[in-house]
Amino acid sequence: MLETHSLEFFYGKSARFAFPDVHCKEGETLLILGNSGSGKTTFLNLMALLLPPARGEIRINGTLTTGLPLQELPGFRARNIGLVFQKPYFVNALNVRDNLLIANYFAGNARDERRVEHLAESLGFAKLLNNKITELSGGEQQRVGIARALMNSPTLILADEPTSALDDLNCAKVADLLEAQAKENGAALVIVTHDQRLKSRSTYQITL
Amino acid sequence: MLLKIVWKNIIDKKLNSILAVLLMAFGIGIISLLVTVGKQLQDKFAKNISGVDMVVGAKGSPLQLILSAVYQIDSPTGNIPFSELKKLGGNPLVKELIPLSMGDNFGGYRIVGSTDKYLAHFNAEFQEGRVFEKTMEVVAGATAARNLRLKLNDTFESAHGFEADGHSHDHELYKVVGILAYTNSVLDNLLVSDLESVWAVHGAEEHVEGEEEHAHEEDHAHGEEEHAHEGGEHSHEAEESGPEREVTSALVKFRSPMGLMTLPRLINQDTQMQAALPAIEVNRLFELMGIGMDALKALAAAIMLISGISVFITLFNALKERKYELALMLSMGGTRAKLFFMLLLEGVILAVSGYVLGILLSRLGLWLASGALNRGYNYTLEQQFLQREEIYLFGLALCIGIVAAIIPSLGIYKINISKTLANE
Repeated sequence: MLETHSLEFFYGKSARFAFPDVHCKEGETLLILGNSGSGKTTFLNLMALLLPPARGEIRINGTLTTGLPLQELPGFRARNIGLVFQKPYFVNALNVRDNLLIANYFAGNARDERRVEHLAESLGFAKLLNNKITELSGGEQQRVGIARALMNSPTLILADEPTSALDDLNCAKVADLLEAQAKENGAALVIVTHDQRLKSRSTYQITL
Repeated sequence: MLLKIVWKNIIDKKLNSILAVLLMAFGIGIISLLVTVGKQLQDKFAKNISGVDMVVGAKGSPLQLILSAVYQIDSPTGNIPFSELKKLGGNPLVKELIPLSMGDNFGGYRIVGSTDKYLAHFNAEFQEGRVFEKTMEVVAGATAARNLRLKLNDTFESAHGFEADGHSHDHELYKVVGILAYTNSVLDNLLVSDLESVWAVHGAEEHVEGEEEHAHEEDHAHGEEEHAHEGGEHSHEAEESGPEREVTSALVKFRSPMGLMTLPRLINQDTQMQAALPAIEVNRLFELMGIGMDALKALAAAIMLISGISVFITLFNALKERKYELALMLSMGGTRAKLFFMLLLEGVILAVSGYVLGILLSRLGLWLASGALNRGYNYTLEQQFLQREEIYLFGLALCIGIVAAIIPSLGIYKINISKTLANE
């Protein structure tokens, strides 16, 4: 599902990051641990195709993304990668349901109301679908964020510090949900975090 | 979906959006109102002027003479002897001369003594009835008939002056013998009789007063009036006893442009009468009005500009606040061109809503102005479909919306997705 090979990235001229090769199959969870400044967010951005690597290869779902033309990247990302952010960003003017549906819209897929209902049910916010985003708690928002990442049935879910803003109870819940959803959707899950509470979650760990 | 996002974003910032829309609406509304009212007034003025080359009346302000004789809105400058007019009518350069005599009203609508040539001048057609043939017979203009609820064979008593509550003449009654169709001219607001009727009413009036106040004074003028009174009762005699009669003014049409060259100077120099040229006076009037109109238009343009600035500020702030949203949409596969278009659309929708509201405001204003003009001057304005200028205004509003939105919207191309989302 996800393979990287000798990825490198430069910030300016002096800061150079070289990342270890990873290989993450469907249903598998990869934890990338590291302190701030270790380049883990950069690594995630490379895998999310938000930054182009200076050197190396990324293969997602069999496609060599480093070989794709620039203008095809957003579409490829929308269809194949689900992103979960540390801070759950939303379009605040829209309600919960529409915030999920825009994932379909920007990926160029048909509106999938049934998937909205299904994800809201399994992530436990079915009653909040017509609420405004700003009326939700942090834990609820993070769950909506996960649902949005899953809207287009991605083969790769990338989560950037998904639990660092949450208390212990919500942390465990969100981590459980992420793993369960990744398995259910047959997606590879990559979690980038410095959150020690997640260490026991997977045996496949990389520390930067 | 894109429209929904745009719309929800506009709704989400209600106050900012309302401000921008209102400013635009006021700017558009004022300009549109000025254009439509100005145009209609000019149309009305031009329509009433058409065919009249010169107006003669008593000496005084030429503009006042034109306003009173052609447009029936100002007071007349005074009276002129009918005999002098007749002399002028005999001039070979004069094609047609329509005498007008006024001084009375009924219910605020002027009673004008003239000849059937006055009706023909406006190409008037009859809704019902016929032209006046005898003294005290009157033909009602369409608006006047409607508003005064006059029907054929109705009779009424005229009041002195041009105010509805002027003291009434207690004497013979006017009788309605004809009602005209709409001509969209000043004739719609008039009650037209023959000249003798006006002489009759005034002769009778002043005769009565004369008897009371100067029982034994028999000066020249008095005799004249007394004569007029008798003439009123025997209209046939009246026509023959022209020399002592007075009228208010006359509309003159020339046979050739030569008349325009020579007659006005001749009249102004050699007679007690004054000649005024409607075309010149009306141009002067519009020049005077034009200064005020231009000032108002400049003000309205400034308001529209401020509206544009308000759209700009709204979108500029929104871009800062919504940086994360926009980066999010980009990360979800939205293209920068699409999001640029989305932001642009926000400005355009605000501008266009302002335009629509502005036009509605202008129509409301037109309706109110028409009501006020109708009460004050018996003039009405018509509700019209979009004017050419208003279509230009739409383009202007659109441009303001686009220009105000384009600079903030271009900011979308500067957003660094990974940095913004990583909150660095």
